[in-house]
Amino acid sequence: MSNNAPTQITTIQRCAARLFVCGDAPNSRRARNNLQRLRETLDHVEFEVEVVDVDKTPQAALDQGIFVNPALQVIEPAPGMLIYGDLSELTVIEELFPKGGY
Amino acid sequence: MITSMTNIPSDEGSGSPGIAKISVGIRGLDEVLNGGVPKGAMTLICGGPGTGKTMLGMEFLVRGAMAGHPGIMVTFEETEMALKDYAFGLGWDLAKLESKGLLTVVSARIPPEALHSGDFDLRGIINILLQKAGSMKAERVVVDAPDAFLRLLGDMPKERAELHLMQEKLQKAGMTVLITVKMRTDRASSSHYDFLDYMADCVIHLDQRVQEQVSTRRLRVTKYRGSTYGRNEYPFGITNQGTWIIPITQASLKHAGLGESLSSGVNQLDEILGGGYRRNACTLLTGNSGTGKTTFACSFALSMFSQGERVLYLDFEESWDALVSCMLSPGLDMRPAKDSEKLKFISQMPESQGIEEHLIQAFRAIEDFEPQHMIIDAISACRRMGSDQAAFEYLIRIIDHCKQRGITTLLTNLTSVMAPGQEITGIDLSSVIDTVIVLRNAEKHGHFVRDLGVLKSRGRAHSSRIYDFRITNNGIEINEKGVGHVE
Repeated sequence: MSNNAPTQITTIQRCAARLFVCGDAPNSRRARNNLQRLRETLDHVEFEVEVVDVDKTPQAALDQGIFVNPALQVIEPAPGMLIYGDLSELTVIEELFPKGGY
Repeated sequence: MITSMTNIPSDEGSGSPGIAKISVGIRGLDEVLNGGVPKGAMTLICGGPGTGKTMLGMEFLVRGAMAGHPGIMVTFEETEMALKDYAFGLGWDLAKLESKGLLTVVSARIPPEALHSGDFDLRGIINILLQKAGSMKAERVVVDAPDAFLRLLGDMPKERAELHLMQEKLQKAGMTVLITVKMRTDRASSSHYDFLDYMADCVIHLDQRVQEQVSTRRLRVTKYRGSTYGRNEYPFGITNQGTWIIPITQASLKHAGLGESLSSGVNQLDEILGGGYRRNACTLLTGNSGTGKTTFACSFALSMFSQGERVLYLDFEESWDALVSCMLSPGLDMRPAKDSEKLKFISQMPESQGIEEHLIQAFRAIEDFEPQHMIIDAISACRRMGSDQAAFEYLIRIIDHCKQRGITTLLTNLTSVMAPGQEITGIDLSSVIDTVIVLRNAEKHGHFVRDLGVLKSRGRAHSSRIYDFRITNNGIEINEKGVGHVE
């Protein structure tokens, strides 16, 4: 499938990620909400997000080397990416998933 | 003007009730802190780049781990590998301590390729720390350079709130915390992290400065809630065995008394001095260039060698080979003493390093070689370590250290023509010097002749006359008749 044709409108993309939060802490709550907004804005992206609560499983964060919270660890598309913060600046993420694909 | 150097934490400090402390295990630092850092509280280590903050924190954990106390290092600036490499350079195998469950090193450094979107906090790392501490039963935590991470928040109140949260959570869990933060101590204006000074229970500033082109390190404790502490600046060095702080403390008042007479190696001088130099005393040979100071010093070294005693010779003016060849002329062969390892000779350009490195080198030589006597040739050259103040700080610590250990010290001092009323050492050291011998070149009947006199000799009657002397192929000969009285 070619993405080069200018008439092509949208490519469905897949994003596998983990969102590391700390319980219901303010930044973590905002990150959950902002992720939901992202899902709605980026309707050409199929998000598959596992939420990891570091309050409950700190070892999981240590194993993954995630020390900043909240943090979105993008696994797919490869090679992956770490986005730390409450995801309030949506453009940072939008730029990762242009509607016309890469 | 030389400022006061002594710092004597009061005696009640060591036993101040209510303050539980943890020994840091770093040479000299426990003395300055009157026992160690506050237990279950936060100590701030701040200073500019390259001042040794991270390694001081690391050493606290390593010394603790070696004594069986597990600890955790979390760094926001270094990679785990880099930290382990630095530590290896100081002789510490962090991986080995980790495998024994005595140490955990966590690099919470944000990868440079990571993206940033909105606010974040320290809760995650705090949780990780507490979980790890629980599983290893660790009570010591070093948080290295959280400023490198928190600056990304770009908002002072938020940074402050995060650090408060961390302090609160870790202290509630009973942890003793050392936190390192970049801060320039020489800056007059208030720093970004000044509030940490108020937050912490104990604050240690590290500083690296250049005096007359010689770089030197200083440590100063500026705050210790509920405890007395050494309040001065102390020189410190980072050696291949860790940090070494060189304080002057209450131990200074525990000098051993003067001991028996020791032959100076010049018979007539022994008589003039009422028996010779005194063991554990500090004797100064002062005079112009070419008055024979080094010859007297070497005569003493060989005299002690003949008694089977060990002499440490610190030479700031010439090399071993130069000294050996010069001393052959007056018939003093230094080589057998060195060959038999009774004489240890260290030659160093004074400006080659800061006073802390000179001190550590000397202290280490004293520790390893265990000399009974030490010669410093010449104290006047010590000014080239940076300034009069640097020379003073170096010498006062060396003499203090020797006096505590019962080591005899013989100093030479190169003077220009002495003006009446001039301080005898030129570096304000008179108060710690027990005996002063003045050597002079005088012009008499169309010839230069040398003479000497004893200006001061504590605790002993001595001749007050001036004596002519000659340096012959067979050592020093003093004219016992003298030439008159000291004016």
